[in-house]
Amino acid sequence: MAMPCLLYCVTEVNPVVTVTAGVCDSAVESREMLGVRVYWSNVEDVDACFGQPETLKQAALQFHQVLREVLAITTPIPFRFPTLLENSDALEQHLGAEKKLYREALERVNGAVQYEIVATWADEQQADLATPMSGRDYLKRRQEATGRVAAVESKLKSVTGESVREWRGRQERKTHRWYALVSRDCRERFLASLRTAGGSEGVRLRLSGPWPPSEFVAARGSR
Amino acid sequence: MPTEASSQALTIEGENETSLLDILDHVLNSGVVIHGSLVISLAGVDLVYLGLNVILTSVETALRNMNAHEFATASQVRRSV
Repeated sequence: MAMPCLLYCVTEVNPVVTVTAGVCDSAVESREMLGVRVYWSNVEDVDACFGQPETLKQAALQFHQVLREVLAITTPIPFRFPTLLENSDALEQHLGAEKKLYREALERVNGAVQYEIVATWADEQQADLATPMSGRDYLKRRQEATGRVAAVESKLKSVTGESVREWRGRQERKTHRWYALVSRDCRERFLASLRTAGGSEGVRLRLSGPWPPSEFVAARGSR
Repeated sequence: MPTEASSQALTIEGENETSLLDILDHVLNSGVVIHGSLVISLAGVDLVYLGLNVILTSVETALRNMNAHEFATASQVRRSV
């Protein structure tokens, strides 16, 4: 009987990564389909695996572990957890329809990983966004926020130089996130450049990674 | 080599530290989303999405207010409600 399959990621056809275990201790399958390699697990009991917050959290961590093992060897384009298809036929049907998207994305992120830098500003964290303010004050605050994001971004780009293949950013309510696409052979240079970056002026920057380059899957400006 | 910009104002925290919240945030909020009718339509799918909503709410709350340890406690509380 065909079982539902949980998708992990798509990679180039080679190299093939052997993953120790998938979610709910399932086997991780991989197969070449339509010019890419896809990794998935057949899930015997969907409810048991994802039906409760604690089992879902555990499955999410196992999902992350699979991606880590793949990322250690090659660059994956991850699926959002949990993406379940009815069976592997549905998977092939999906890949057939989206072949161009995956090919282009794999070429864009080939040989790279993603790092993430989150900026928080001390005064922004304490700001009371619920209290009404005048239009003038609002615009002034927006202008200041835009200016300091631009200043940090400029410094990040200057410090890291050509070790970053591409930058993307996203403004959130009280923070700003930058995503750096870094070639594997530039990782040490990228990290070293950040280590030498110097002191802070009211901004806290937090680095995490390497992650699969999910922020770079879509072409710039396409979303 | 430090540049002019680097001498001004950057300290990076958290290198090599990936928290539980970072991981959950990434797996639940990033990656390719498949739209359309291919997504499984078994009876159990409501449970999947119910569960997902529960944990998403926990993550959002946790990201605002809690550290990873408190998040784990919050998940247990939610489950028992």
